[in-house]
Amino acid sequence: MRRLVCLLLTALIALSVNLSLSMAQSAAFSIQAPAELQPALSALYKARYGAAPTFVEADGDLIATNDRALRPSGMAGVPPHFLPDAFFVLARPNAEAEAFVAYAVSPDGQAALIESGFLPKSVTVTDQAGNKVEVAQPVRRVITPYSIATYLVYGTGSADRLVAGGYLGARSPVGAARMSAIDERFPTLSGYTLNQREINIEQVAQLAPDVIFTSARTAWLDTVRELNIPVVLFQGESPELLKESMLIVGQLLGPNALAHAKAWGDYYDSIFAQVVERTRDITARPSVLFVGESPLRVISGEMYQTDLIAAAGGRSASEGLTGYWNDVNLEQVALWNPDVIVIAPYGNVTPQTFAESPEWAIIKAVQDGKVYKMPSWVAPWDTPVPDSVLGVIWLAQKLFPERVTLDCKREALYFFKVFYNHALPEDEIAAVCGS
Amino acid sequence: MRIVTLGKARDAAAASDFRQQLAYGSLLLPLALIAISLLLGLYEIRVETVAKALLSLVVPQAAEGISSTELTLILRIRLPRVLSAALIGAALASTGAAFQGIFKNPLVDSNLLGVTSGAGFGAALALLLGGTALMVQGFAFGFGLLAVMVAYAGSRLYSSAPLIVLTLMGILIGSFFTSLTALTKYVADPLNTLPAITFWLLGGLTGVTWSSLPLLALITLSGSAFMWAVRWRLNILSLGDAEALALGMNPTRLKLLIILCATLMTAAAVAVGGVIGWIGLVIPHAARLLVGTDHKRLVPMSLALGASFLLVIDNISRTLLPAEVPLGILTGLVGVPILIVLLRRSQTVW
Amino acid sequence: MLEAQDIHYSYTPEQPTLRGISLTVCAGTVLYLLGRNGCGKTTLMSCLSGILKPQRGSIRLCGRDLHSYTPAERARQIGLIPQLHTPAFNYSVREMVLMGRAPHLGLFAAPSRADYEIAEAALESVGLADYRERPYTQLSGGERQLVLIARGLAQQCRILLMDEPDAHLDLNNQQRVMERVVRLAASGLAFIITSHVPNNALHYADRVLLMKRGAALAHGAPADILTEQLLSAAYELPIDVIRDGELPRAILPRRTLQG
Repeated sequence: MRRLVCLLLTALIALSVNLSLSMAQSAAFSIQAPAELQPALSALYKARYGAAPTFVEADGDLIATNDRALRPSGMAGVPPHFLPDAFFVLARPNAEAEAFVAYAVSPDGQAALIESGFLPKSVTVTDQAGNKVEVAQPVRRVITPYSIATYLVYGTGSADRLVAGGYLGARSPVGAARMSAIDERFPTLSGYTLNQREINIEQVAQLAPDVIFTSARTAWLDTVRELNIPVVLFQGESPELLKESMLIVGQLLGPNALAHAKAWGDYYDSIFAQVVERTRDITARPSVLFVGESPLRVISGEMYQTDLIAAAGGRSASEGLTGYWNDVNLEQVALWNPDVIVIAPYGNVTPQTFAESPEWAIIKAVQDGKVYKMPSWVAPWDTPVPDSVLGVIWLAQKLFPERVTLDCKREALYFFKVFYNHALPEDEIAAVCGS
Repeated sequence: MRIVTLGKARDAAAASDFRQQLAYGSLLLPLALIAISLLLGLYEIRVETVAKALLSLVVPQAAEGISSTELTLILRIRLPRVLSAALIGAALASTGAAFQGIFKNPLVDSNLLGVTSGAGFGAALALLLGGTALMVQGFAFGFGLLAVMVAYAGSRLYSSAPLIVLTLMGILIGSFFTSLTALTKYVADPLNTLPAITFWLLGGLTGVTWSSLPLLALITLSGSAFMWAVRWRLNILSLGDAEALALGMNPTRLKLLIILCATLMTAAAVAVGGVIGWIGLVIPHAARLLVGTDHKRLVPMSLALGASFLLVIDNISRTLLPAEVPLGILTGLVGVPILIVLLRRSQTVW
Repeated sequence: MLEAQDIHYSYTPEQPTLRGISLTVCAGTVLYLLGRNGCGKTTLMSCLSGILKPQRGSIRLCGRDLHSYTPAERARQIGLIPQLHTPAFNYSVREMVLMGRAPHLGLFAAPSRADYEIAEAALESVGLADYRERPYTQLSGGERQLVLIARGLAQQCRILLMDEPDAHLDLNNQQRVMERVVRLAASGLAFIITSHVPNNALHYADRVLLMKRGAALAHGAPADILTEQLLSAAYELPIDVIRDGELPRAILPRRTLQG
């Protein structure tokens, strides 16, 4: 009898030691969070570890908060958001905590929050063609035949959800290499027959996307709607519309994406405000002629570049033209007599082309040597992609070198780190910006 | 009786003399239009300035007091452009008339054997490969000639009914190159390469400078001189090979020479100005209305009318709006109504 | 003037079209070539005008081999008037006739005042001087045929080959054209004419060559050649010749249909 009791006692002790040990294991990091966030965090933690988290009042390993004052600044960028206004800050390096954060912002984490009611099951947005589109959450698989939309997805930090897309500017060897450095999945993602003109419907069905991002000018919308996949249309030909595009993407791809989208909008606004501030007293805006594939092919007033030039503090010389690219003759350019000529990042035209041509010597910009070719990293900086904010910075720096303190290289390093999560090679970006 | 008859002959000769004088006198029209065109442009330049600038070509001191902008615009922008327009218009119209004659078909122009389609593909290919303006012109010229050579080589495989076979081969080769051009447009980057190709194919003299002119002038002037020299023989060729042989000619050889000449002229014209349609088709008909079907008068008239027409069209293209209106659009919009009116009035011109 | 000796020509090796034809044409003669469709009349014309070269036999013009002349030299001697067809372009009568001057002009030359006067004279010879500015296509068949003859006159050649000039012409026009031909022959021109109207040969020919399957069936004066026996053999059809005494007046195929 006594032996039995001893055995039972030993078993009990062993069990409780085991339990406390395991409790110690699951409590590998502590979470410091206000009361209103604890239920959501518990739901996340339970879904991930099958147990309850350890909340502490102070000095937690992982801090969850909705206090904007605690947001880090600078290169740390946008903190990971698990709810529209709630984000994580890592108090000290902790592998388990980092893994938990990664889980929280992933589609699985989003699914856990949806299941426990903290996030909606589906989101309805009004796309930029005016359609109301309902998309079930979480979105795990996105395809972007509209190559500009691809960069919207990267810019909101949600590239992990991309399964196929077009990539503007990544056709050339240089562009492709850079894009591969940013995302090693790029060769696979870009390998599908996917663009605005044509689409392989069977490939699309096989890819089983949850949503398709494309433009209003796409040719095959009806065909794809047969597959009952939600299609969201984008048309961001101005900075305001571009901000709206980012927000739409953010709403559809989870709280973390939304936070990035808002951050981008804030970033753009701050750049814009800085330029306005620094050039407030300039009454005569420099006139900028933006040319494309050939010296006499210029933008119209309806194109994105016109707003880009205005945001940089200048005025487009050809803003009176309508439509898409226009051919003009040199007499018209002589009438405009622009102060600066900017060449689009793509194509063969260089400042050399203008310098070598005796006909162009009559134009003020050529006489003053103010002919510049806009740089780009992958996506051209003059198109409605998030990267275009760098185009504004570069141009403002060129137009007002003494007044504007923005630096292209510095801002490019910041932008790519925060929005693409990619560290640009410093000397290369310095060379690119230096043009 | 003989005297009376000779008198009547003289009257009739006088009537036809008038048409002859009209035909030869019409050559003054493009010269006058060139002068007028130099005065037109978006940038307002006074008449005296233009005159002094032109004079300064011979007497350099005359350029004193003219701003370098105006001088450059007149001598380096307007002058080469206006001359190109005149040369291209003359080339397209006269080759159209020649082809209508030797193919005995009033509804063709020099693109019958595919030179324009070939040149269009050459340019599209060069633009797709990201070439310079010079490369575009070179490719256009080369592929234009290639298209005709292929059509001609193909037709040699059949010795019976050579004219029909040649026409058929030309149409086939032309369509082939048109399809190739559509293919290049399809694979072109829609952001910038595709608009470049589309613009080029619509025709325009936007960036023409003196560098484009020497080859164009050489080919057009020597080609036109040849056409002028054999213009009366075109009458006989238009009757058919049998009658031409019976009248002691070598129709095959002469037709070959004319085709070669016309192809070179058209390829050069398209290389510089892009695809400008309707001139080769419409202008010879307008010329026939004025001076009749005798090629002795038709060729000079076509040269003059073609040059004048394109000069007027190009003036509109470069002054109507701040942006250039493609020439191919204007020639169609203006040319097709003219052709319809001519068809109604002409009765039996053919 | 024009001598053909034993002409052989085949378009394809298996089927010879001309099998040994010989003939002679002197100045001022009107020679008619008669025979069925496909007997080789047009091929013979093409050989005589120099367009085709016979595979065997020779053709001599004024003693020299026909093919030793350059095309222009030959065209100055022999003219060919093809069957009527509508040209693609509407030249005036004068312009059509003027084209006959081609063999006399260099490649890069255009007709001069002298050429215009020759054309004018040619038009007068056929009686169409008033028609000079009329569009060629507005003329009747007979008038067009006369214009083509005028072109041949402007060519100043001595032999004119006419391919079925009476086709598509009514009786009035046929007579008009053929009487003009006879008058011109009287002034020294030689004519070789193919025809499907043997009656015209009866009225206008000086000599007749009757062909059958590429060979000459008979060659001689109309009265000797245009007999029932020879005509029936050539056309493979019973033919009657209506005579006024000894003089043949009309050639009539006999109707084989009953009733």
